[in-house]
Amino acid sequence: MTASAAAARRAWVEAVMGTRISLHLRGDGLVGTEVEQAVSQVYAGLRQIEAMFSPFRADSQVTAINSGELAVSECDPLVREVMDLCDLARERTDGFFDAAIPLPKPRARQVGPLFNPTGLVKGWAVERAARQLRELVDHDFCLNAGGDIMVGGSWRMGIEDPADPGRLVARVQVTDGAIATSGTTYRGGHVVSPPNGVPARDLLAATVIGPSLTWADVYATAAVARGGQALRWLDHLADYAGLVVKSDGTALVTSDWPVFAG
Amino acid sequence: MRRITMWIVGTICALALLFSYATSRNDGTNEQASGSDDGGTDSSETSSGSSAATGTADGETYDGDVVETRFGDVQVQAVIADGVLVDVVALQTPSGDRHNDEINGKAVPILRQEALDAQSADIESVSGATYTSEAYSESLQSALDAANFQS
Repeated sequence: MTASAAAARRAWVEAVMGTRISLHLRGDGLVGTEVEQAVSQVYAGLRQIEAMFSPFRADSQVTAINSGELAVSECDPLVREVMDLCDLARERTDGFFDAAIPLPKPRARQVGPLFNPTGLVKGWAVERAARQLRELVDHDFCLNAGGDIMVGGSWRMGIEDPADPGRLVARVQVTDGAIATSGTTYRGGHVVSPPNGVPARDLLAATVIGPSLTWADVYATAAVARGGQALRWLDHLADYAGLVVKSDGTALVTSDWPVFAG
Repeated sequence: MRRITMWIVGTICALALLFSYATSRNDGTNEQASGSDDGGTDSSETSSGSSAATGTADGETYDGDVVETRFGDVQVQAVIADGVLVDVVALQTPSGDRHNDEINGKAVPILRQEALDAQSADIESVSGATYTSEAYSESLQSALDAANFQS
């Protein structure tokens, strides 16, 4: 077990998927071609996913599917995998996570619900990259895609206070797993409650921890959309714990949320 | 049901301790280091047992015992639905503190840690709602990243 205070650490950051993705490694041998190649491969993989899935790219498969140019039966197996995950996510969240919603800026000639997997793809892509990083047996890793994080080893996490981004609302230790936060901003709801289309307002943010970032991300997004009943719903999820920040700024956690030992 | 009651007892006890931490943090003396964690540090407060539950439309409420803290008496009420703690209300708060008057009648902040920035809180990464690339430089994470770049 690495004494994290003493172990060497190094960070890389690149812009991918509309945010900054930070990768931190802990351990020895953080300089040199081997580790640089491993890091390069991680970011290259994330860029490939972005190229395939971004609905904001004219040449992505998702754009082609939405415009009718590409049949689902002809798309990349990874796209099919994500579609299946989106269906499962809709089921598991009672529709509060739904990839079949209108894009923020609908393109001309597109009618009906569109396939917008962006809420799931980021966490899923990071989780895939984390599998590569796990092969670096001498290093702990922390891969943070704009606030959604996958780690190998044990890391001390801060959870940003949605009412005051310079402060934290809580700290939590995450080990060999994921932490994801979804939220609205004080400028207004960015998360829409799919079943009724009403912008989510009860919660400022929700954070979920558990083994998979794909699912932590989905559940955090669904929790914010769900609003006032979210905590009760999160508490029923096996293997995942949650923290919600209400619109008055107070934080509540599920019964299995770990106490931070520091 | 007994197991839930036992957990509630523990939770209410922990909440009372956290509440006393939250109020003491705001008494203007700035005595806390940001590295301290919640619960269990002020061992002089104790609580035992909870009174019987009363039912409400949204769940059952459990009134914790009155806990004596160095700032006064604290009593919290937990609202439980389906065995899940869904809300916490302060029934009695220490008097004489302006901030406590603001808390009266509102849900007790269970987790509220003071940290001016990520590094003073001794954390290694930050989870928050996704920031755009443009907003990254204002994020707590950017400070942690910058601290660990190597030339």
